[in-house]
This record gives sequence, C-alpha cells and structure tokens, in this order.
Amino acid sequence: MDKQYLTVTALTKYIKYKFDNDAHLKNVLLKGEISNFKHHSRGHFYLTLKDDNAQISAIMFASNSKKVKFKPEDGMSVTVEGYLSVYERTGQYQIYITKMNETGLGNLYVAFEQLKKDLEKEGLFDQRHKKQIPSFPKNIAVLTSPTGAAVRDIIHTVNRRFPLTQITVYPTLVQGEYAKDNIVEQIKKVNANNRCDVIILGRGGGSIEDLWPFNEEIVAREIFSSNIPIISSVGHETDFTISDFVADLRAPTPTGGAEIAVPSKEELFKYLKTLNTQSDNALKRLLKNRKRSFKKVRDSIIFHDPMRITEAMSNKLDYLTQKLKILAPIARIEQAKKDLVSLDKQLGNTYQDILNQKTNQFKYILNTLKHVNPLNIMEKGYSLTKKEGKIIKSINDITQGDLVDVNLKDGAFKAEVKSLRKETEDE
Amino acid sequence: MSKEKSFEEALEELETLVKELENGDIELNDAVEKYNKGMELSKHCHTLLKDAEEVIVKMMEDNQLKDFDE
Repeated sequence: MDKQYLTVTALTKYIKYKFDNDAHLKNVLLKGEISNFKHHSRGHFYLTLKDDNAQISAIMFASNSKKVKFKPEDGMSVTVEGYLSVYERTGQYQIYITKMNETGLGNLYVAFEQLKKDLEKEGLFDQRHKKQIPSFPKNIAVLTSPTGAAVRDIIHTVNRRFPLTQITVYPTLVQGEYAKDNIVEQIKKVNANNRCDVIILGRGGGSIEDLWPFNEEIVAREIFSSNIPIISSVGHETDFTISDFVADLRAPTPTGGAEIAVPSKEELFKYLKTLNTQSDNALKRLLKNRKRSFKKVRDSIIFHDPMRITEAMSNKLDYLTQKLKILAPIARIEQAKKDLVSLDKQLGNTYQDILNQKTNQFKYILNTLKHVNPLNIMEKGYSLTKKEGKIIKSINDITQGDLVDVNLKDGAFKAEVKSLRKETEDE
Repeated sequence: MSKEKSFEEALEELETLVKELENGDIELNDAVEKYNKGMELSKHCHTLLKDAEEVIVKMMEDNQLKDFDE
C-alpha cells in the first residue's frame, strides 16, 4: 500500500485545529516577563513571554493593545489573558493576548537597578575616574563579534572619518553565558598587549537577555580597571547597560562609538584651513607693524633736517658750560669769603643787642624787688607776729595764753595773748 | 622636514607655530621661517589625510596578529 504523505499545510492546519479546539487553550491566564518587545507601526504588540525555564511567542493585536494603559517594555512582569493558536506561515504556536496587566518589574530589571546603585555608590561611575580618549588614536582595539554588523559599522566609520588610524579586532563573545568571561579576558589581553590606545567595546542591538553580559558585575569591574580608555557602544540609542555607565565614554551605537573614537577628516581639513588663514593673517599683521615702525623712523625729523642735531647739541653744550662755571671751586671759595665777612658783622650786632637787653631786664627786676620788700612796709609801723616761728595770719592760729614773737623794723619782743576777739563776717 | 612625521605630531607642531606667529613678538626673519615651515606642515597633514588608503584592520586571534577579512 502506498504511503500517504501529508502536505506541510495540511499538517499545520491539523495542528492549528487541535489548538483551536482544546478547551484549556481557548482561554489561558498566563504570567511572565516581557522580552523582545516590539510595538508595530500598525499598533500590534509582538513580544516573548518568559520565565526562568521557558518562553512563548506572543502577539496582541491593535484592537486589544490600544486598551493597555501602561507602556510595556523588556524586563516587565505581566499577567495576560488570551488564547493559543498556530501561525501557519511560520509554523509557530503563540498566545494571542487579549488583556495585559503589569505586575511589577522583572527580575533582570531589578538586578540591573541593584547593581547600578551599588556600583554608583562605590564610585565606579565617577567622572574623576574617566580616562581621556586620545584625539588621534593610532590603533583602536575593537572588542566585538568578528562576524556581526557592529564590527563592519565600526570599520566603515573609521575609514570614512580618519583612515590614518589602525584597527585591531579582538574577536569577542557578546552574548550567551560565556560572554562575560570572554569580555573580561579580552580586555585584559588588550591591556597586556598594549598595542592600542583606545578600546571600543560593543555589539549591535538585541533583547535585554542578549545585552545582559554588558550588565555583569565582573565586566563592569574589568572596564573600570582597564588602563586603556574604553568606549562602550552597546545596542541601540535607547539601550543603557552598566558597561555604558562605567566606561570612559558611552556611545549610543557601534557606529557612534567609532565616531567618538576618531576625528572627522572633513573637520580636520577645515581646521587646517583655519590654521593656514591664521598664519597668513599673523604674518601680514607682523609685516604691517614692521613697515609702520620703519616708516616712523624714516619720517623722523632728523632725517629731514640734520642741522637740528648740531643745534640741539650746541644748546646742550652751552648749558653744561654754564653749569660748570657755577660749580667751579674758585668761585665757591670767593663766595665763602663773602659769606664769612657778612657773618662776622652779624655776630657783632647781635652781641651788643643781647648786652643791652640783659641790662634793661636787670634794672626792671631791681625796681620790682624794692616794691615788694617787707622791710619797706614795716618802715610804716606795721609789725610781724610769729608763733613758734610761723607767721600768724588768722585769729584761729592762736589761743589764749600763747606766747608770740612780735617783730618790728628795728627789733623784737615776746608777748602773751591775753584775750581773743574773732571778727565774724556778719558783723 | 621628515616625511615620517605622524599626523598628530605635524598638527601639534603646526598649532605651536601659529601660536608663536600670532604672538607677534618675533623677529621678521624668524616669522617668515616659521610661516614657511607651518605651510609645509599643513601640506603634510593635508596629504596624509587625503592620500590615506583604507584603514589597516588586523585581528588578534590566539595571540597572533592576522589579516581581518570582512
């Protein structure tokens, strides 16, 4: 009997029929983490739902996806409702999601955030650790897959911008479980070889799982300890990895990494032109200044009227001669003699003046003395009374019975106080 | 001038010369000499960039430097 061969279409239709008619698969409640999320321009969501051991393709048509209130992204944990069916064209079974809810961030996302926080706290991202990228690298180490698009993008970009540099490709695993160790190993190798002055480490775009080696702690620490500056260029513009933060520079894509690594030929041509113009101008300015200085000298009055020089000199000579005469010693001696005579005369005058003045002063004092002499007063009959040698000026100086000495102009006698009479001011 | 001068060295020297020229405090003879040297350096840089062939790409595999085929 002839064997009956099914067509692929028939088999696929049968499988699809089985899926569509299974009661359990008609209404499925599923939880998982989003990966490979794509938002199609017509509004459909294409994604993979996964957990630690398995994954399933998923699609959510625009009619349903427009009701989703949050923005799904890779690493997000979700619960979905939907049905299972087969997409005949690719022979793929997938879940057709009708409802989707967010339940939290996925484990990878949490791990990423945690490591980022820890390393940042430790200072691995600090600006002060960033090494300077050389302006004109001589040899660029490219750490990526030698077969991917990234390496071609980098080579083409460097070719276009600055082909004077060289590139050394270090074939590196950039996804999968061995990638992290391989990246670390290759960074060490570039440093040990020391042929290159900058490293571009990167790969093209992919899912969060694909990019995960660049979020590994050992990779981050190796990037940090590299002596050669590293430009991290992982995935697309929107992808950020731990490597990007710890690297000396982050480029959005491998092409961007190459653009940062080397200067642009076109800009250098422009710069050279600017330098040429600057030189031209500087030299012109210099010549103009020298010409001006020369002209100033040439136009100087001396060149036009040389007699001026002798005239000026002659004037100066006259002046100096005059000065010399004044300063001559004979003249000074004559002058000194004259001064001496004059001083002698002055001295004589002054002596006579002082003598006259002193005589007058003496006469005056003598006269004054005459007036104040107490003897002159006693001549008129006044007496001077003393007690124990002290002159009595007040009634309060004596008491009854005191012995006092009374002095007259021509002698003295002792007396006893018989009585006292005080004159008060009221009387 | 040595033609072996790298682009970076030549450019750096050119920048220094321009700075010295712009400073103005320089003998005229010296200035003209520096100017000529600067023009030569500029031409050298220009030629290096213009005539550069495709970038030389090598591959480091098993500690051996090999040609890299895209």
